[in-house]
Amino acid sequence: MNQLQYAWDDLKSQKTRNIILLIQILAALMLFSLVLSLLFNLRSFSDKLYQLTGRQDIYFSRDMTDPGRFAEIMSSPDSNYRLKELYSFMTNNYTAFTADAQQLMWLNDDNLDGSFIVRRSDTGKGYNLLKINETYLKVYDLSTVEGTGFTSQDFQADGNTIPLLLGFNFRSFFQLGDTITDTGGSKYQVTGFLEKSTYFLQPGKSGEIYLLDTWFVIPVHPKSIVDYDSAIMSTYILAENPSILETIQQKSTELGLYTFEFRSFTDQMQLIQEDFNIQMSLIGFMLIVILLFSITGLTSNIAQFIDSHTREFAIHLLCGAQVNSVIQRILIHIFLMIMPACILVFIIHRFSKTTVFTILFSLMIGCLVAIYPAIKLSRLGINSLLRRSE
Amino acid sequence: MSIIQVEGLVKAFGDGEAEVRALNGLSLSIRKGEMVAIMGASGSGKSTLLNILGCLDNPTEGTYMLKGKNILSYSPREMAALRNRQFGIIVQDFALVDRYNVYRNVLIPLTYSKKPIQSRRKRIDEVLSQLGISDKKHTLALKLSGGQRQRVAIARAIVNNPEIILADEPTGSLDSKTGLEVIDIFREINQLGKTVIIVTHDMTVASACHRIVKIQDGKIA
Repeated sequence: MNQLQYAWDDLKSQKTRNIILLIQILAALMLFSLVLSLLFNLRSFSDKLYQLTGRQDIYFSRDMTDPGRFAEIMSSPDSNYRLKELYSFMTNNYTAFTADAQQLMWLNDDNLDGSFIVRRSDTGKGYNLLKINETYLKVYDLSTVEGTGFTSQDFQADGNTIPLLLGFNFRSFFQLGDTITDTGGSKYQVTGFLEKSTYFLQPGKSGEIYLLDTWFVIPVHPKSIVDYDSAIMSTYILAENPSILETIQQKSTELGLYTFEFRSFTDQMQLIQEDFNIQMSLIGFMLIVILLFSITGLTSNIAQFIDSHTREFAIHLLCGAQVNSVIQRILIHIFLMIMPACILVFIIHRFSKTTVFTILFSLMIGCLVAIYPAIKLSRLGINSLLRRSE
Repeated sequence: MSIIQVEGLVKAFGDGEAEVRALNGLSLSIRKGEMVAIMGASGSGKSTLLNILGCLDNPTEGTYMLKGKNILSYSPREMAALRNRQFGIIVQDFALVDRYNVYRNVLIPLTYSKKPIQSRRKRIDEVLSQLGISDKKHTLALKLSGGQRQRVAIARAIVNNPEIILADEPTGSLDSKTGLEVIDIFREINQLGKTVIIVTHDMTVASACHRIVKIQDGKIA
């Protein structure tokens, strides 16, 4: 208790220096937690990718149709019917999930966070929109923090109100049951909020992993020719044997539609993962460099504090303190500085691996920083300490 | 009865040919309640002796019996307890924490003595009053005069009611008038039954003691 009081007095006596030190520690630990978070996310993503592709291969189609032929398909009066049949063939005869992110949700809502907007126009603001089918729910094991996910009826219903799942970050703006109307007059009803960091993968298009925190998710409801084209090109087929995909091409040819090229999702995903690894490694490296600078600053600051307090410590030893008591005081001082940063990390990352490892790391750094004074105080006699600090 | 008895004390610094012996087989006995001046030329080993007596340093060789117990075998924890409860140590430059006020400086030994907070306050008020510096209780050590600083150092040394007071050149940096006042304080402390050991160059201080021990080349002259 006495050492806590002394440590607290030490902190108060040099406010400016300690505030600077506190900021350094905050920066260092926040960066450290960010690096950890990225690394854990990378690992988590890798695991998810493996889960997704480990059972059977996934294939996506690329449209290799001649542009002239494509224009002909789109302008044909019965194309909508033929496209619908092809889409139904793909989704009914194979395990196929649709993840169509080619369109946006257009709203006129001014209350939403401006950072969620991906495009603006005269008529409204465009937000990320993902259209999914029922198989998607199973493949991605989509879960909600509030409300419920889509039911089978949601994918079949063709009512006036479309069920809507919202990304985690929308929780501050909407409530369950809210009805949203887009600029086209379509109505959506909020049925649930997705878990934080829910993601989907779209290797065939941009090769990126998207976090759905600021996305609108609705069941796929193709109504027009544009919708069917988009849905077909955003449908992924799970298959053990790629030869079965030939039947899709046969069906397409039979319907006078596209010429496809099917690519292995796994190969594409591996490329994505490699890109992701490189990207994360670069960010991680940069952050570690910054972290090292921060730790060096912290260590030198503590060393400076200890040097400037050597005489005081020696006086305490002269009056009957043990070296352990003085080290205890230094440790309390360091931990009082580290504590606000740890609290902040906890607030941001909650009870997670990142929080636990960051706190353990900060405790380790605190103890390492205390080694220098411990050695100094133990090796030098009280007289030497008094003389050195004169 | 001897409260302190040292035999064949050697304190060597450096190794081999570079070895210097600050104490070279010194033996000394001090009785309880005695007021002893230790004198000697600079480098004779008197401060080194005081440091060993006050458990601030260990001898290279020899024995040190405190109240009949060989304390050289004590652990660092036991040594710290001795410094806290058995000895009141006053060093040459007073060794005050400048950023603390008088109260907090005097409080330091009590912090490590496990005494209740209420009795600590009472005891500090007592010693500050005894030394005539009650009015300086909340003054920063930095702002005190030399004589006042020395009184604070003495207050800190006696606050835990130790049996032995060790002072290294207590009048060295004071004017003669203040020096005499300090000598009177040591006399009063001694009259309360405390053993006082003073290292000094000053004959006026030494003549106020019961006995003068002269050291030369690390031995009793």
